[in-house]
Amino acid sequence: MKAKTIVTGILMLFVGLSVVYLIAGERRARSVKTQSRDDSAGASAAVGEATARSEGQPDSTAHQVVAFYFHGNTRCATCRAIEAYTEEALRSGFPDELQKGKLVWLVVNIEEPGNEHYVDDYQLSTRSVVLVEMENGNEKKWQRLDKVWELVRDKRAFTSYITENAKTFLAGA
Amino acid sequence: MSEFILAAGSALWLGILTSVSPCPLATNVVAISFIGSRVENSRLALLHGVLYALGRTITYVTLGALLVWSLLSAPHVSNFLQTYANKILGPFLVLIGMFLVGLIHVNWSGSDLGARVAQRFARLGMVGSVLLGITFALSFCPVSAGLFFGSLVPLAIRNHSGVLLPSLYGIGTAVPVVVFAVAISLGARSIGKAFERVTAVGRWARRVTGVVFIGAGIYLTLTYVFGVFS
Repeated sequence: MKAKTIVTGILMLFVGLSVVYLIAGERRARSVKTQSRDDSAGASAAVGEATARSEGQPDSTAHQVVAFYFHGNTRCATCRAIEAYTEEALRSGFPDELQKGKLVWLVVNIEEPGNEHYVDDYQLSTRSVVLVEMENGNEKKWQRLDKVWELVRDKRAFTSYITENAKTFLAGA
Repeated sequence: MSEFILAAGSALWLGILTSVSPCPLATNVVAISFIGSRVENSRLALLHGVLYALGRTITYVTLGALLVWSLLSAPHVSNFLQTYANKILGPFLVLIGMFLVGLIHVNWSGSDLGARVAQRFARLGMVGSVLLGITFALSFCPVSAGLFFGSLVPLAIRNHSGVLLPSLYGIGTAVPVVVFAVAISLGARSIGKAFERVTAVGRWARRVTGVVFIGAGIYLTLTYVFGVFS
């Protein structure tokens, strides 16, 4: 009977603590959001800014493609696989373009302050791969590659899906 | 017509794909154990399985219809549910588990522990299975959100089908769970029969289910509230 009381006490404490932590976390997130609202830049500016921080030298000539992987604070095994397969497909398929900065690979946490605007910019319902075509620093078009969730179990199909779409974007079609 | 049959098959397949992906595993284990614990009567397990599928379908049809008719914005609903439903679900499952194993007392009578556990299950009964389906379908994880909002909803919009395709998707997400649950119930029943202890096995199955609820609840809370496994 005593053990039962202890277990009940511990579990109730756990539930109570998680509710308090949840509410406190929510209040914290809300205050950060209010602070960052004014700082957040538009999509094009953010792409330009992020490109400047990327590994390749940004190409001064007009055409550039940015491949985004958007994630949140909670990462799942399938999400990590999607990120890894996409990066692998781009690195093996377009090493020169990455080197020259014609193609840029960026991983962004949408739950970090200032990044929330991507949800509306690219209509993100979940962790997503998005290709953005830039011309003279302006966003020309974008596409969210939704099929990654269906194809993640078939790496070959996944790779060719990413490669084909990136190729189309790089060709500026 | 054949195009629509293809879309219907795709919707069902997307549902199955959702349920066999690793991220809804915790809630699937809870559902399997809840449905499969009706060891004394496997037909009852099947009935609860159907009710669970109905619950999931209710959620997807409601969301699907609202999205197809453009009454809701997919990214906002999806992010809201991914952020909050999982956070609330963890502590909630711990509490239900505590109720099921008898750590929380809610006005019960009778002295035998087995009978009390059975009584608690009976109280959560048919409506419980439907509610479990509705709630678990709402707790989107990245994979289920990707397949539902990224693949199923566009498919439903293309085919102007806000009800039928989401229903098939809902059934698809429940089928593997129900098959497993009924198989477990049948297996446990035959083991119980072999030892002439069907009632005792049933009693244990229900206690284990309560523990599974608590375990999954703790896991979900640690993951989504405290960010331990993220």
